[in-house]
Amino acid sequence: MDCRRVEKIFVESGRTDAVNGHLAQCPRCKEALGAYDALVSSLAKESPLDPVMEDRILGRVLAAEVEPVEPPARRLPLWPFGAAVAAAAVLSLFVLRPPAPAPRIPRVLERTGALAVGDVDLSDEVIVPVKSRMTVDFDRGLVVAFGPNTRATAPRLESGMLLLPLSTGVVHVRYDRAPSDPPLTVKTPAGRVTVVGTVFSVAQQADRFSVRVDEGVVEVETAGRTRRLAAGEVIGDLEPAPPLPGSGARLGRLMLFGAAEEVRVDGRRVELPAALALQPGRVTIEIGDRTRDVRIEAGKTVRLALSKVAPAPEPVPESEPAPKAAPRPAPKATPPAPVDLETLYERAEAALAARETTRAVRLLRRISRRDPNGPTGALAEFEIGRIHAGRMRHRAAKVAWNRALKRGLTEPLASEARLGVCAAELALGRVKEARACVEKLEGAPAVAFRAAVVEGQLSCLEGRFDRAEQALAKVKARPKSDLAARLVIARIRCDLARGDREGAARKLAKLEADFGGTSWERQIRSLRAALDPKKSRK
Amino acid sequence: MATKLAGVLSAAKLAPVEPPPEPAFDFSGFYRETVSRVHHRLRILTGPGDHLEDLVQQTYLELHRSLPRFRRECRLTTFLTRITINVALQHRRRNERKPPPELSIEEVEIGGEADQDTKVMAARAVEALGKLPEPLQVAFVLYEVEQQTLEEIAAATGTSISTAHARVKKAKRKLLKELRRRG
Repeated sequence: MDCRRVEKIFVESGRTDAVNGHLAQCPRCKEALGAYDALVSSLAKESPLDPVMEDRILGRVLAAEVEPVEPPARRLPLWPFGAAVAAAAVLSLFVLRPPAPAPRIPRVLERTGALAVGDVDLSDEVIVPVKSRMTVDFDRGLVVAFGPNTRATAPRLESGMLLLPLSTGVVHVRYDRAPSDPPLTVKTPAGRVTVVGTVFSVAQQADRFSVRVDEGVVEVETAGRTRRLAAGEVIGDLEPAPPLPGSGARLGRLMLFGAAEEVRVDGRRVELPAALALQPGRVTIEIGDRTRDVRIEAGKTVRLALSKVAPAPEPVPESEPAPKAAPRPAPKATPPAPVDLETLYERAEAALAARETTRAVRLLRRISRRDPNGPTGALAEFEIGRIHAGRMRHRAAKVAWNRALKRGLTEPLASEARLGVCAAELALGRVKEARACVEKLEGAPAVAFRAAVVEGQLSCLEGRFDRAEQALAKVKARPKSDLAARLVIARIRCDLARGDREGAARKLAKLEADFGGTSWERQIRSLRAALDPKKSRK
Repeated sequence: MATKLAGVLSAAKLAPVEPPPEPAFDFSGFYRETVSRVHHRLRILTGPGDHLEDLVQQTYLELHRSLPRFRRECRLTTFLTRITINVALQHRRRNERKPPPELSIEEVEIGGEADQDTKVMAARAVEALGKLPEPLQVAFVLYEVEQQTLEEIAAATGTSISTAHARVKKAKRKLLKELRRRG
């Protein structure tokens, strides 16, 4: 065999015996294919990604304010609008006050509910999504709670003054200022609030500016006028500040990632998303009814990824000591408790929704293993069978459905599973087994029509075309319904079994017109291949 | 629980699988599952370097932006593949005047113990791959390296299955020819 022919076989079918036989004789081809194999294996090897970089990228992606992409608008000639735009611009300079930028909600964060902030440092921009809150304990005795839908810059030292720029949203501040500490100013587009040792809140919502003082005195400067506000006084309308934790040296930091419903740190409830500054030492974190010991070290960030957990028990009254985990000899984290079946099932559903079928099957298998004799395990096996059937893996589907039936799957799902087994046997070409299976289905009203379709197809394979016609004639299907697709497919297969290729091609064209590009596409392709194997050889 | 499962399952048909309505999407989880593969794919298509971190970030930002437009006509991973390819190709076009990135022999990683000759061969093959036109490179990487099906490649590259198949074959043929020429 010459080298060109071998190359062609390799390109079409990979390393066949013929190719390997040639390689034993031809050093040139051997070298080229050796380099080819070395290329594939070198490219296939994934180098592990640096976890720090992985976290850094995720933090930046989640913190980014993302606008959905809109389709580009059609460009229109601009000259007719020129005069109107110019007039409006001049008018706005004199008459209209320029509106403050509307708060832009980071939509992605709103949707995912994920953390908006990475490790907050001085001068970092802080973006807190809607329905979220973040409390940061900065150095210098300053604690700032950023409210929902807030965009601000973390405080920075500027001209001997701590400056906290607030673009939009609400900040609640506690500033335990020592005499040597610089004064703090919250700066918004509409004004500045300067304080010396106090608890207060500032809000900038579109063009509305509000200040509320809970302790001490602040100086408010708006439109060139300065005014002093004492404790209890309010400009605008603003809710009182939530209880802010006392300040502490920012030596360690704890970040919580994930969808936990309630997290407690040393018995104190923590709202997510949160980045907590904690004193060094060991901290007990309670997640639902589980606890974890974490060591907080100076200057280190501890990250916890939390999965969704059951709601935590009722909060403990303040008079009682906060519940703590029993001390452990080593500061290592305890292994997480096993995930309950319901959570696993929810994850499997989510995976199915995202069309991650392999992951869904893996999760369902876990459920099946965890509940080998119970109803949930049977349901999981039933689901596995459905997924396999959707991917045309008939043997695997059959095994899963038989397992579900053995575990006592109840009606009407049991009939569905039996029908699925029959259809799988039919697809595998095991006519005898399919016949035995279909006979067991008689008298199951829930699957009567679909059973008739299977019966029709089976009779065709057995060569009993009259019986097949009778069975298929019983089926009443709505146009463009799944049952209608099944019926047409059965008729096409009958035509093929009968040798009526023209009839099959006509029906296939109609099937393509009605169901092309839908989830029936795979079936259509397989029929097309059966009709014209040369064209569809891929 | 049982009622919920029964409700979900009774609505189910045998095939194909219908997704439940309005699923909750866990972006962070999806990121953690896929980031390593995205990074690897970008490394193959654009070469090693500091730019990879930016490209990975850009890929996921694009995914964020495009999620509202995602119509669930393909798997999300396929959608991500498409974005990754676009990001990689954009990067290459931006830097097309610069010399193409090349893997040094030290950077070639082969599973298991590999001798120096194998590494040299692989480095030569990587160079040959760089000579292929972009669409062929993409098809080759997805098919041979990532073992994706033709359907998935077609969905990821926005072509028909037959085009994807033709590209894979052409890539293999050209690559072999180039390797023979260099050998």
